[in-house]
Amino acid sequence: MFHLVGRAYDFLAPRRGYLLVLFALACLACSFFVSRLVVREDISTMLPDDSGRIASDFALLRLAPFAQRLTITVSHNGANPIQAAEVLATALRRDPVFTRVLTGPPSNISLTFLTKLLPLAPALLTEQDSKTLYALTDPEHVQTALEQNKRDLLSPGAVALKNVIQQDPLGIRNIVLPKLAAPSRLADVRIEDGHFVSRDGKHALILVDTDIPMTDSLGAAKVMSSYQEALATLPEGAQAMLVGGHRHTHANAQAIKDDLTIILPSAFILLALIFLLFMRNRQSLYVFLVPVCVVGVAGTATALVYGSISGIVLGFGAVLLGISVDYALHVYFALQNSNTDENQTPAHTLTQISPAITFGALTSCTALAALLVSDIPGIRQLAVFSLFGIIASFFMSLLILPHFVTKKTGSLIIKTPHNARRSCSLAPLIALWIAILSAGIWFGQHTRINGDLREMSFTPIEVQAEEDATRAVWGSMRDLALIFVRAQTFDNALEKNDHVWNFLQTNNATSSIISLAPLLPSMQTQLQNVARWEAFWQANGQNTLALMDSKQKALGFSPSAFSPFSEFISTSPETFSNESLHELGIQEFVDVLAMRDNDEFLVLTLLPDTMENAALLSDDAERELGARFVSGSRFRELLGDAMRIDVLCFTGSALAGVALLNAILFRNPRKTLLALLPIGMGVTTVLATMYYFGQALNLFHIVSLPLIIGLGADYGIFMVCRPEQSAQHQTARAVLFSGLTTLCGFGVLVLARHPALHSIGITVLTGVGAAMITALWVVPALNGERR
Amino acid sequence: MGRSHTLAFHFILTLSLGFIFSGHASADLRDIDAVLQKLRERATAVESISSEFSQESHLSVFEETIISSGRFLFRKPDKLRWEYLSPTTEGFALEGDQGVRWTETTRTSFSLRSDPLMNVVARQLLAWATFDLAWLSAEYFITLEADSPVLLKLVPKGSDTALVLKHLLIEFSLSSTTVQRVELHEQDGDLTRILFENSQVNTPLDDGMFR
Repeated sequence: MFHLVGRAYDFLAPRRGYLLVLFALACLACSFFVSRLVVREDISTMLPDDSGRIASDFALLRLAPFAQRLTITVSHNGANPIQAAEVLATALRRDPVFTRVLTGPPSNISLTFLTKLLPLAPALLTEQDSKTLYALTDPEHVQTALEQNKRDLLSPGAVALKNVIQQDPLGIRNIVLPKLAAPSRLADVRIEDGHFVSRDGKHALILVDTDIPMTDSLGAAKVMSSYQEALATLPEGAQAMLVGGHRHTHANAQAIKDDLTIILPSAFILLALIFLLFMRNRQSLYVFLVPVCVVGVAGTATALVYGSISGIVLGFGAVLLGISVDYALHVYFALQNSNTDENQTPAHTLTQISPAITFGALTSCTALAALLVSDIPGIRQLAVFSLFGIIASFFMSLLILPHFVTKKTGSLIIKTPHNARRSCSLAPLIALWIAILSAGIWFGQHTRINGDLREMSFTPIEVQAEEDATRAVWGSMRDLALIFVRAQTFDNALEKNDHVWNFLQTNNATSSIISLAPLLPSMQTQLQNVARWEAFWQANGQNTLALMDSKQKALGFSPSAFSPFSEFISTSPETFSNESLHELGIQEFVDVLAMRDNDEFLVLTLLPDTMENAALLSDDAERELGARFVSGSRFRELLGDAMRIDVLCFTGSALAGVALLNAILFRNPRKTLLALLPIGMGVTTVLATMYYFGQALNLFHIVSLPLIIGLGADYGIFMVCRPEQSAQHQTARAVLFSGLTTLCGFGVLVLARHPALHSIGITVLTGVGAAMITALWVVPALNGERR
Repeated sequence: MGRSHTLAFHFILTLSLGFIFSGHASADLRDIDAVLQKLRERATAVESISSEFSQESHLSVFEETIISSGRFLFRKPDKLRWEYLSPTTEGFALEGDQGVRWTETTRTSFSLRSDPLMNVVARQLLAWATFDLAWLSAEYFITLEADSPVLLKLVPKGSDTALVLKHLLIEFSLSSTTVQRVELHEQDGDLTRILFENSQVNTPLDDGMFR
């Protein structure tokens, strides 16, 4: 079968011109397609979508009130921060980037607020509140309240208070007013002069909305630039701190840009050194064209499968395609040998090396195909991308590249090793393998996996400091856990929300809870409350009115002074709706905690993200309540678990598939184990290094592992096949050169400040380094080769 | 909530406006704009106000008209005292951001930063004391009802305020330099009338009066 490669070479050689034109056209078509690719920059593609709740938890976490908003804390040393905040807010409002700038609660609370609020009392009267009603109708309180009313009615505030006092002489409004506080405890704020102000009065808060997604790096740069422009308007001595996802995105993009200014020249210099030392001819440049073309082909094919491609996949796919240069190098060096050996034609050489390259490609494909079992859609897309890339590289290396590198030869300066075969017994090899495997398993079990997405991004010290300072001023408003209820109608959602509130009350967990339930209960709860109200006044109404009548006369009140109150408690009360709160001017509170999600209504409760609350909202409790508890800490824990399972699944599958293919290729246990040695060493070294430095494996380490497995498999196969090839001495060069270019190209990422780039760098440097050393020196030694 | 009390302080501040400017509003000024402009110009010369008052509350909630009395003090830039001395003792005083309110049996401190109601008072007071004509015209329709003695009628523009307050009347004395009468007419017919006497402008006022 492998002689077909040689025949293909002979067939295409006279038609090299056509081949070149066709290949150029294909490359141009791919370049055009790639330039028009829809690249998605959504991090959710890198979250599991099939592990129960992670993806949906992530989607729900994004609905948290402060998840999408920018929060700006303004302070002004020795001066009123409100004025500085208003100046900044005015500048921000002028910029169309910011769609909404809020410095305080809505200001449309009217003069008649209290009189409008009072009719809500019956529908809001809980069991606990009815005890307060008993206290309000106590004779002693009635006397005190009427005396206070008289004073108020004679004070300058009488005009505003008269109607309220006439309708509510006993202070029933004081049952309702605290309920307004329940949904407004979003942050540790108080309202001063219509502005959000910290408890100590030294800081003012600005909440800013923008339509630009926080994952859009270019948009984030625009947001930050607009913010910087607005900052220039702050009065002298005033300061502002911005916290928000856009700032992180911008900082990360900037960090990557800064890193690349160091990494790219370093990689270029190192690669140039390798070229100057080992190749030094024009034809070798074609080898580098292979991975470039492969990225275009793989991107095009992946986009055709998925309709779009993740930016993360594109980036990491390019890293993974470091494997693709292997085959090109192997072909290049083998053909160099054929050029210097008159007995070897290129077709013959290609026929000789094609089994190793075919099995190398097959094992790489197997390793990458194992990624298809991942629960993470981005990793599955990465697998598809890389598979297309490997296949494209395989065909380009064997069918196209030979026609570009078979004319002239370069000066190869590596000394040719002369090998003599010396058989190695199986026992030491098995012992070595068991030792490596045991080490891998031990380190694998003891290496931590970190599912915290925040730690995978770069956070500058000043950003972290401002986030800490903001948290100290306003509390952990961005770190609250959420309980979601969902229903087809708004009232059904409120009903579920009532159950959640009652559940939290029953379990004494209502402190620091932000809920809509006390202010806007469901219709069913409202009817129960109304019934409670009516029952109370039926039992106590006449006595209370008689008591008031006797006391008000003594204080000089007219007999009709409190007729509105008498009417209020004797009239059948009504329930109210969301619109009633809108009329009161407190719709903003409702909007924060209630929202629509397509055809459904969502109502959320916010509570501290503590272990106790997480334990309280167990799976059983969630089922019983028809609610979902979502918290950042639980999300990170779930993500870590899912990633752990993912790593085990795909590394296990990849190793098993690669082992099987090696067994089929070599049909010899010793050679099979030998060929697997570089993979084992590579993966084990990565795990051991992580363990030694106390680092946890993150998503970026994990997506880099297939590179180690793929390259390790190639190195192993090439080196074990080497004795059977006439160009055997060139194989080591190909492996060395492949390893060095990978280390120079991607290992230099270890210099990066950005955690993602650094993670890839450390994985490639340790894993590929170990695999390469094992393949070049340990495998030949154990294979009975002697220099 | 805060705005619900704004009206009350419009009332107080209207009084201070009256005290500040009454002495300068002469009968020969027939044009309201000229009167107001003159008042504004003279306002800068006023440093303090001290006056006694008696208040008649003709309110439907009470069987009879209730008479109370007390005193009103103001000193630039941000000091205010409003207190009733009969039939009960109660009131409040403000100095900068800090204030205190009292009854016969209680005395409590407050801060403008944490008390939106009193914060509104201070802000409104400053606006009136400096006779911010733009603000005044934005809040009220002002007409000159009579020029001998000068009688200003202030009709609220805001619909919320107009819901309960029909208008304010401020009457100045021909012979004296102070306001003589302020009337607060409510939409339901209730009336509060305050008569001022022994009014003094720019007399020294002890800091302790505002604490």
